[in-house]
Amino acid sequence: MDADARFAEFVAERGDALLRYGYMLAGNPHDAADLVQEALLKLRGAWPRLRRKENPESYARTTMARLHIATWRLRRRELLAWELPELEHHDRLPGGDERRMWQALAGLPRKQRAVLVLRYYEQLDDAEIAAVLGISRGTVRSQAARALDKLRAAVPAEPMTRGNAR
Amino acid sequence: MTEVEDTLRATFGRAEDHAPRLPALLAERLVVVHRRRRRRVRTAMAAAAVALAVGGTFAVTRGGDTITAVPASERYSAKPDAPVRQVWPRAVKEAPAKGPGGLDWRLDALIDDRTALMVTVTADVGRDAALYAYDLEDGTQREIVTFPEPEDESGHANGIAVGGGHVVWWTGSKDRVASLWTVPVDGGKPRLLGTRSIKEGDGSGIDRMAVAGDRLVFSLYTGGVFSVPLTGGTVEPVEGGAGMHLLSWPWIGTPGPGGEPHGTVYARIVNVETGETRTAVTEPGEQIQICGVTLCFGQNAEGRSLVRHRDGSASKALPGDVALMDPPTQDRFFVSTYGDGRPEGVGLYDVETGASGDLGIRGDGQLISLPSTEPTGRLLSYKRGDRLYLIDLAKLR
Repeated sequence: MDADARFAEFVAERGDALLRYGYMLAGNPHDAADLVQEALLKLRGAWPRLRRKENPESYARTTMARLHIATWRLRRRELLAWELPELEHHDRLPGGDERRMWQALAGLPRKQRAVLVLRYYEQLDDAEIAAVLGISRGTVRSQAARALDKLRAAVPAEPMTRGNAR
Repeated sequence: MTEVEDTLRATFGRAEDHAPRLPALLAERLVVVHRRRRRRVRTAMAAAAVALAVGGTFAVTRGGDTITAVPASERYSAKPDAPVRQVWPRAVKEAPAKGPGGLDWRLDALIDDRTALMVTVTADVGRDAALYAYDLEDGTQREIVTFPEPEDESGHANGIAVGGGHVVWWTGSKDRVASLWTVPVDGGKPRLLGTRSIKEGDGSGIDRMAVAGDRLVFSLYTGGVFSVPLTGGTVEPVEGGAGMHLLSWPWIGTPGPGGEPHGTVYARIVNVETGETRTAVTEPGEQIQICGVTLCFGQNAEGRSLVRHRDGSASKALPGDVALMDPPTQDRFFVSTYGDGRPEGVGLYDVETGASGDLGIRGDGQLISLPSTEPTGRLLSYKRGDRLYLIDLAKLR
């Protein structure tokens, strides 16, 4: 199978998962789509250089996280259009804490959001997060702590309902 | 596990259900884009310059061969009634798609009403090779300057702007110092005006440059407006320009177009000559993405594109999505794609009169090209076949 065919197979198998991950990072479908596209293009460029033991998916995920916290948006040149859900579709998230949380996430600096996505969505530990983002473990911890503080302030716990619910 | 961490996990889990889906045939499309891009490989620094050269425009290549970008847009505008040349005959000009030496070239600015500033681009890495003055009336051209070959990728020419008989640009360096250059539009030797550290941030450097009277003015990607005399000298901060970005001299504003998401781009602007300040009004539920001196683009609470004055007046919901999120061209026009379920073409729409013209660009499946813009918001340019078309928005008034 040639590189294009193997790449196509990879995109078909893992594309949606990457797009979900992009959506967590970016918080909206448009930027998520851009992120995935840019990361897949980089992956396609690197495909011949990827050694057998290197996992294209982790390459793509690392690229997406780094692109997201860099100023990737300004650098994009070609974008593919595709049908996307409504812009404000996080409004369809259930009400209450989760919706407030999603909105509060949108207010975080990109690096902080990326750290949270890697920790709580990708379930990586701090050493892995540090490797993905190319930052120190100390920075991972401080960024996560700062982000959680902000979220705590934005989504205050409600002891009554919380107590009942959990 | 704390409560906030619990909620966070639950939120991410729930959001998964709302994530968009990849379209079929994406891989094939990406391979096409990949091949096109491979022809003009460049490093991250040079890639950053892509955007900087056009002052924060997202959708522009410097390769000159394709000016391809598409908003992931789900709402299309109405198909324009007629080709743009019929609607605004005085505004449409043409040039060959290739310049001297058979190199692709692009339009960067107007030197005057009939003369375009053209930049040829090398075939290998898409480096800016030389500047030309191209006469749009009689089709003649004259070389202004050939850029010296840079020592490394960071030394490419960026941010080309023109005014007062001068062309200005900047180059970077490995140690992150921006050098500011000028050459008379009549031609001559490039002259170094001054330097400025661009160590802050990610090395993107300068986000916009312009000629203002007898000075070159520019702003840093990380914020801060500076100027230097066109005769050379000390680079000085512009009074009141700390943390600000050049919009359209004498207007500067904040936040700038790059970096972390931070709300409406150019929400607050200041006229550095008169001290007048304008702040964009945002109604509850709205997202205003970017404002020019007068107009803003964004989405209303229902997610429809809207355009209106920054003072909140004259708000208008648009049927289609605005495709180029630049400060509105001439504070009056916007570019949008039209089509039925897929982008079929690109139109230029006049907010004030409702008139629209078809640019003649055709979509290819879910892909379509958008025209390039330049920092003054006066020009749109795009290639079709072996012709380069330019629309002078100032002639649409």
